[in-house]
Amino acid sequence: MRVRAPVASFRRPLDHNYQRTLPMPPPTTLKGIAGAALGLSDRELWAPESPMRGLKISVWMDAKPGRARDLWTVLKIKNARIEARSPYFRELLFFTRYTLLYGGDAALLQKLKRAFRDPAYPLSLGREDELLLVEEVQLDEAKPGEPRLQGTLVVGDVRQMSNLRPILREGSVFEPPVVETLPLAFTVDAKGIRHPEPPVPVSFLPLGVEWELSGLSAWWWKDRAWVWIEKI
Amino acid sequence: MSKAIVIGYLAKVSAANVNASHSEGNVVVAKKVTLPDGSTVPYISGQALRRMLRDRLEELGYPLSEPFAQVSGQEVTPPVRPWEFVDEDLFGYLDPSGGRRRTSPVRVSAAVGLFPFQGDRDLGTRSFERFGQAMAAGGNMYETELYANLFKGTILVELDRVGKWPSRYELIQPSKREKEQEREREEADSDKKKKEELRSVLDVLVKDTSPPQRGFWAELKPEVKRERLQKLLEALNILWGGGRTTRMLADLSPKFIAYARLRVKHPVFLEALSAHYEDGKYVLELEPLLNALQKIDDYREQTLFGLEPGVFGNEEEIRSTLAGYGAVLTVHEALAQAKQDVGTLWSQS
Repeated sequence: MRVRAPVASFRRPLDHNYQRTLPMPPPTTLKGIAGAALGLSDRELWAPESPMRGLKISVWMDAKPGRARDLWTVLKIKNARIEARSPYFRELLFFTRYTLLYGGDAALLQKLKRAFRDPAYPLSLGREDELLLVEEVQLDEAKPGEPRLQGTLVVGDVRQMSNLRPILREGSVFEPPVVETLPLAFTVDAKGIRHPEPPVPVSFLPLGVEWELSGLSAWWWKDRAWVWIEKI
Repeated sequence: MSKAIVIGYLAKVSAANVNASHSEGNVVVAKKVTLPDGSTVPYISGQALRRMLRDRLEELGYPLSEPFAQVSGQEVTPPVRPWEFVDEDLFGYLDPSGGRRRTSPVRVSAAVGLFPFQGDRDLGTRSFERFGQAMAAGGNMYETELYANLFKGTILVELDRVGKWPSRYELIQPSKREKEQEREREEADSDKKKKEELRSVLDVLVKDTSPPQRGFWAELKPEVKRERLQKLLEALNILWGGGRTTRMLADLSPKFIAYARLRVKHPVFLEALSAHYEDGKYVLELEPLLNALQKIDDYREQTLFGLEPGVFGNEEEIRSTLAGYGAVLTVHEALAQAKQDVGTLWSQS
């Protein structure tokens, strides 16, 4: 699904006063978007028996976004009065373009395709106001191929991977990847509180340079590769 | 059946800093985004626009919810009476103490400038005269970034969620019991009490859900829902607000709107509005808008356009091109017509 949004943000889990954003939607957001399209509550989406658990996901960044630091003010309340105003920053991405990739059972994908075109809830990239625009939804078959990746996600810390090799070409702009420890799924307890499942390192490979990660099972579609995030 | 109303709009700011960010030294900077090429574009956040809409709704006669209705330590509990408070219904709420939460059925995108920020600043002086000194003592100089720009924004309203709340967990607090049976019993009791409370509320209808859903639905009478949406459209018609209004008042009422009632929840105008500047006037680029309209052709149930005279250099072209898709009126006429359109909603329910 090709999408774009004027504003998006994906807060890094432990950031508080200065909330950096991840450059692409993380795995749980990708699942959440599918859940919102199908009209699933968080309990249904993250239930152990949810068919969404078996859904494979990935994402491509299709264009480098603009960036802003958005100033917020938290009002600290004490004795029913505003005791202090505490500023914090939230990084925002502007003019984003992504391709969200979903893989799995053909019947579920057909259902998802219909839902992305006619979602139960409006779809967003981040918070509820950060609406996304669906430009195209396509169902197609991917082919296995060489693991040459850029502008996408990989589970694991690429900085620790000895099989990582940047493919440098004239004009390439090298940018270090962003690595963050993230949950790949949540569980929702009896009280309705959402708990992250044990987080794992996830690498966000930037656009600009292709990275060869030998040994990974990559898939290709439309001259671009990705690796599924599937063990959720 | 219509599922959403989507409004794309353009607001013109001649010289203002509607939504300021922080201070850098003695400069109040504008909120802006840096593009990959290093240029910057100002924006007005969705939160700031929501606040302006709320304020206008209050002016139009709606009492707003009191966010600090109940305070315990640092925990602030909203009233959670969306049948009474239009802002709780349209803009949602979060009750941190009990986990009741409502996602806003009205989504408000940030309004993003169509033209780069040029680095303009307004110079001011904080006079020492105010601090008991002679005027000759001078004062501290400060600057405020400001811009002239055309801002594009989108509002999407989920029609199936306006004035309609599931008891679980928008109205009742989730049980904290561990065992499923005990939890269900406690939540069923809470449902019953809430239903009793709602029986005395004239404008609310209550309907049990059918399994596997639990709890009940509370829904405003259609005429009340229609009125709330009509007032929201009116709030957009008279939109203004933000910071520094004492000396940099800006009128944010749209200079152009595209209104569509759709059978899908799709923010169709989100990336469809762009313009360039030519011979002292803004020129609306029609190709992206036409492409967006054609894309949702199968889902459009009503389309209207509003155009303020004298703002766009290609006014005639806009009128003649868009006339094939819907009526092209002035903005206030278009919003009046949109209010009539909203007046036909839920007439079968």
